[in-house]
Amino acid sequence: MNNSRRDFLKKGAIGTAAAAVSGTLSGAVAKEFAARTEKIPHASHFGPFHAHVRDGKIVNITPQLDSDANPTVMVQGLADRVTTNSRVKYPCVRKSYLKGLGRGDLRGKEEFVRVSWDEALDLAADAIKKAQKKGGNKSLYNASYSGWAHPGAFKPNAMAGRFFNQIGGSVITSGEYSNGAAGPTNPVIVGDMEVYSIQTAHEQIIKNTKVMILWGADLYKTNRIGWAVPNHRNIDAYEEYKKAGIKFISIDPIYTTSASEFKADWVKVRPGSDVALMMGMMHYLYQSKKYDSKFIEKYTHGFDKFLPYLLGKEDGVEKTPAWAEKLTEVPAAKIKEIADIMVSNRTFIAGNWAMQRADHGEQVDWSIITLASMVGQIGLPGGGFGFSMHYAGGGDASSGKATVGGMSQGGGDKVGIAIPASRMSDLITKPGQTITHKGSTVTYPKIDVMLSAGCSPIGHQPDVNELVAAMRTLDTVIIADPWWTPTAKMADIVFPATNTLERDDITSGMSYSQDRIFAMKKAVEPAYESQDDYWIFAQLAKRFGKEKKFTRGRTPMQWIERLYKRSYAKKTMNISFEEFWKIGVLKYDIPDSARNYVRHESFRKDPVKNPLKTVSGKIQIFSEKFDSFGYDDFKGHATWFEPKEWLGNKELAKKYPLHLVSPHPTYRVHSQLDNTWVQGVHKVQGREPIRISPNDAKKFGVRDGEIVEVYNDRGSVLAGVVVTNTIRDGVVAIEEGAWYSPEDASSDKTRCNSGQANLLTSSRPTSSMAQATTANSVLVSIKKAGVVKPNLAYSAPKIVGA
Amino acid sequence: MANIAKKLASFVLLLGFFTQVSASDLYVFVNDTVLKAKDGKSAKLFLGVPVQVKKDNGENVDVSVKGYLDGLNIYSSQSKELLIATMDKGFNVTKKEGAQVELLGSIEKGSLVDDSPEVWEEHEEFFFEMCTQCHAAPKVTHHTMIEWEALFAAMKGFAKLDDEESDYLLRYLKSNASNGLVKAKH
Repeated sequence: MNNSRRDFLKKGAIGTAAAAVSGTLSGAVAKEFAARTEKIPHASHFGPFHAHVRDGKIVNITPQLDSDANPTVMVQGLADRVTTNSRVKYPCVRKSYLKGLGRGDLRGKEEFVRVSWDEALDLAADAIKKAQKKGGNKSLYNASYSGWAHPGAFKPNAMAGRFFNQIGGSVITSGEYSNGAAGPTNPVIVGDMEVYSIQTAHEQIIKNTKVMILWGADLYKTNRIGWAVPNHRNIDAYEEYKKAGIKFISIDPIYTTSASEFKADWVKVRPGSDVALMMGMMHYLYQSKKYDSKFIEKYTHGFDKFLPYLLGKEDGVEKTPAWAEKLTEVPAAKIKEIADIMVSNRTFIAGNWAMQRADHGEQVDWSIITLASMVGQIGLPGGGFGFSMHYAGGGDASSGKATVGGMSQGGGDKVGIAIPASRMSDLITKPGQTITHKGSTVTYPKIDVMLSAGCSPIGHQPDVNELVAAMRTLDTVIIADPWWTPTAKMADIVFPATNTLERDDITSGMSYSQDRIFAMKKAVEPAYESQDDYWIFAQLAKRFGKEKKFTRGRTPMQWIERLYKRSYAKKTMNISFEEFWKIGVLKYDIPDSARNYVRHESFRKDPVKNPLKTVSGKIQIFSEKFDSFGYDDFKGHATWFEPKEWLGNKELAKKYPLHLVSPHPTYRVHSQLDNTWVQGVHKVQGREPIRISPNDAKKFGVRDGEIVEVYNDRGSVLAGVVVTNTIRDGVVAIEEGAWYSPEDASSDKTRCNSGQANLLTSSRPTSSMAQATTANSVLVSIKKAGVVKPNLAYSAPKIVGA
Repeated sequence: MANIAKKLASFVLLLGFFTQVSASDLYVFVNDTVLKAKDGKSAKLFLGVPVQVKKDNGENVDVSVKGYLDGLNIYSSQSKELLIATMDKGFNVTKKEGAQVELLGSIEKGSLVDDSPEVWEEHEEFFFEMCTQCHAAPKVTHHTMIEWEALFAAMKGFAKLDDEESDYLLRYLKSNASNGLVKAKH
């Protein structure tokens, strides 16, 4: 063993102290307790940790402090998730379905029956075979589209996809809910998705940035979790941001945690009007000749085609600051002031994702990029724009070394139909309908079987009532999940899956830093009859003669070892799998050079030698490709389109005078952890909080801590009032992810008893182009809740035989 | 007339040899396949490059490869997004329509196949293995070459690819893109 390797192991060994014990225990008891307690390394979307296991039970969870600089309370909830009563304990089948009666209309309304694994798997296989025979594989819908269940290698969506691909494929999802509008737009505009790309390093921000515009971005909140395992080093970096004296301007209807921490100036923009605000700034910069014409000339394409629109020569509407003021409710003087600040200081615009989850969401990033081009600081240290500073530790420098990936879905799909994320309900209810998508078309087939593993469509699909009604028309709904999620309760066949703490897995941290490999070791035995997703889908594949193709004859641990072998740790550092597994975590050094990273710097230095990956090699302020689509609601340049649903819609606002935003939760990843005690930190009488301004609270006669009904034409929810000065008048916020809980399960359209925001959101797509979600374009009203029943969101349904 | 008969004979011979082939569409199956011009100069062809067979000479075939010249490099398109061949100094190319050039020479027949997907089997498996860990596989043919470069830039970190693997995968994606090497299939 050479020195560097020895040093590495020394540094890399898990060194956190033994469990702290309560001061009330005697020394001897504490010693005995510690001796009988095993610390098992594991990792999650919330951070890396040790599970303290005694007598087969998790008695404590402590963060791996050498890999998590600023742990959150959320890791503490993970033990609760193992033992919660909301676990699916046995394979279950809905009563009427088991009797062969179908009665999809009773989904979510009747009890389940406990069955054996063989019976459940046979029933699922039979339903799939029947659908295949009747309508081909295009009648199968794999709704498990995202891998957010956990950060490990055996992602449930990958297992489900792998199974379907072995049998010829299924209808799948194109794009995503998170970045459904910006995702397909940005690559054509700026040659990169940007939303998932490494950002300018914190060190460069600290050294160079004078002004940071937080355009909807809440860096503190959304960096609490990660796709990979978060290190929370961003909090330390932000302390340096503060010391560096960076001026922060937060353009947001909410005074966010980040705005508060950074003591930002708050620009209380009207939701849905941000593009108009950007247009107003651009118009001012152009007319005042303060924009960087040299940058526009050298680094962009098509400004001349955008300019007539900006100046109103195309549509007769000049996009002046005064025009923008009417739409945004931001004074024209303020619009000019911010534009002036941007061009006279090194300014970084930190965009977010929520703005593009709204009507015409495609326009948001495009407008920011166009504005940033006029400001002219793209590619300069600490300047330009970033759409991922709020995600996965954006600003982290990268090790540049490979960590570990996951098991794949493999090939084999012969169906070739991918529906845009957000089109789930339409897919089910509108067979034969053709929609446009990214310049092409998609025709919905007739779906008979829907399967979802490790994710909850009744969590992420807008307009829950619409989705529930759609699901009740299906032939079969199959769910694999550790918990009785709202979607599992709406299923016919439910497979109990293990939690990651009940099996071995491997993962990495984090998306941009790429400097950790974590063992996710099994801590406890699987609860009840739960089985690994790998086993479940291998068993399903077996019923199609595809088990060996699914597993390739490998055990889960052999897959883990195989994935590890592709890492830099194995290939270059020559650390054996056995060594890694024993240590539980490996660390890579981050080279100092990585801390000098400035996004788009090479393009700025030499745009000929380092062109952007766009048709022109430059920033496409105008895109001939997009223009050629010929859509009315998506043009060849960034455009202000009035949202269909916003406070500027005077007629609708008379009926529903509050704009609802549903931002990322503070104490969850989407719906994850909603069934744990951690939620007690913020819930109001067991319901999701609704934040409302003091003026609006007075106007609607609601009090702090009261349960109210929030409603519109699509649905209604019960939420707990939090009156706060941190939200502007006319806007309310319910964080997304509460578990849907029908107040009256026997009714088709009933109030959600826990405050699931998607009862209120619309499935209306962004435009003919991306067809993405518009969950932030929602108007609602509030009224007294009346009589309230207990919230049963986290209880198992009635199960016969269990 | 004699020429026509001769060409026809070659064509029939080819049909016999490459049974399912439209003679214009054979594909380089082995990377760095050597194309030898009559004057002895060579060019190296990349995997998946389509060649048009002019004449079957038994173990070798005379072929034509078309592309766009930049120094000693030949690209699939004028925008030079995909390198398809590199030439020895002094390799003579024939000018065709617009900026297009043609490389003529002889190739070992065993380096060619008539089925483009066959060329990319290993790449495809790697693509599915690397790019479906988090999401379902996107259709490779749904994006242009430059769009694949744009998407790949953001995604390669998530797939944990080293430089060699990145080059390998990106060549597959671009070669099979909507404006890649296999245009007829889209």
